[in-house]
Amino acid sequence: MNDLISIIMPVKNGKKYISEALQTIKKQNMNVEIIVVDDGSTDNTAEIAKSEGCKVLRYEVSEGQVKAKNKGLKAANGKYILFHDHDDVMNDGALKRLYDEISGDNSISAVQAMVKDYISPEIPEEEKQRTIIKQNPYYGLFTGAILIRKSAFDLTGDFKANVDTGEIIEWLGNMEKHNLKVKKIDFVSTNRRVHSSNFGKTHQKKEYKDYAAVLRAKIKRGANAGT
Amino acid sequence: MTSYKLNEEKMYADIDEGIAIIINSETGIYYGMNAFATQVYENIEKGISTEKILSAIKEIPSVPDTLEDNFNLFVNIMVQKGILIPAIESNEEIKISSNLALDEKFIIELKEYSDAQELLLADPIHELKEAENTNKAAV
Repeated sequence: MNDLISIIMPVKNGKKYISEALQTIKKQNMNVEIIVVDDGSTDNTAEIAKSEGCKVLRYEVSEGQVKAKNKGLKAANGKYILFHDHDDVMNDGALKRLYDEISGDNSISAVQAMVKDYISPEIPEEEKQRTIIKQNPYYGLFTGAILIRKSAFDLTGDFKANVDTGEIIEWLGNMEKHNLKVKKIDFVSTNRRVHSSNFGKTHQKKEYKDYAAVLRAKIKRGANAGT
Repeated sequence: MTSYKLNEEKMYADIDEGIAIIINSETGIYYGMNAFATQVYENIEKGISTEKILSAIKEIPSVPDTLEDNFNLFVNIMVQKGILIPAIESNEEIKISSNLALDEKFIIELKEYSDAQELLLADPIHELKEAENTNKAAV
């Protein structure tokens, strides 16, 4: 049996897709604990997660996905950590492949696979035609794509919760700072769902604002080599 | 008169703590400015003509001889990089702080960074052609 892997899934109002995501994780047939962090859902996300045998943590009022990740991390018992979005699906055998890579090499602190975008089937045809997604797989950030040795967080600390997105940029910077090695593996671990939501341009701008804040802090620290 | 605006199709700009960060959403390359360059950029981005901005800066005492060349280089690079595109001139008021200019020794600095390129591109923000309500949920 493999060492315990903690799968951390932050989610808010995810009843539509969470079951499918959980099923694909269970199908991996690996020794895992699934920690669902319900970030103030007003639907029955938590009940679904409980019925699927997950450990459920909850914020009564939404605190954002970064704090939810940190909450899940604190509760994790696994030797390895994998963050997974509630609306994505993991490919068969992906977790074992990630595990085999990291457990077989003590010099690496994380392994990073690729993700592939897909348009959720229920989206109306007209909307599908107008949706722009990445056509090729790309190295994913967290969503089922990175398996991390939990001990790495002892050095990097948890995620900075002053942003809603972009926390991974800072965290990976911390990995570099501590010479923690991330190994890339050329396979698609997860399919990333694109679907209708209430996030529009406003949310997009908020994401970029968060990225800008992280990048500004990076520049200020002088951790960057400008050209 | 020559005026510009931010190329919002490709670029996202954010100013905070006196530092402008501009992200190229297509390439993941980003740019950082020092405080004086940020102030110059803020005026340019409002559509104020570059000639008027340059004149305003030149009125500050102790302006160095190299200022005009540096200013023009700054503008030209931003145009070349696709950050700025031509715009109709606006009548907005020019805001240049002489104290800031002096504190920063009139240095207009724009640095290009590619170290977060993969990360910025790997966290996709999906777009819709001509519409705005489909995206990848962040949580």
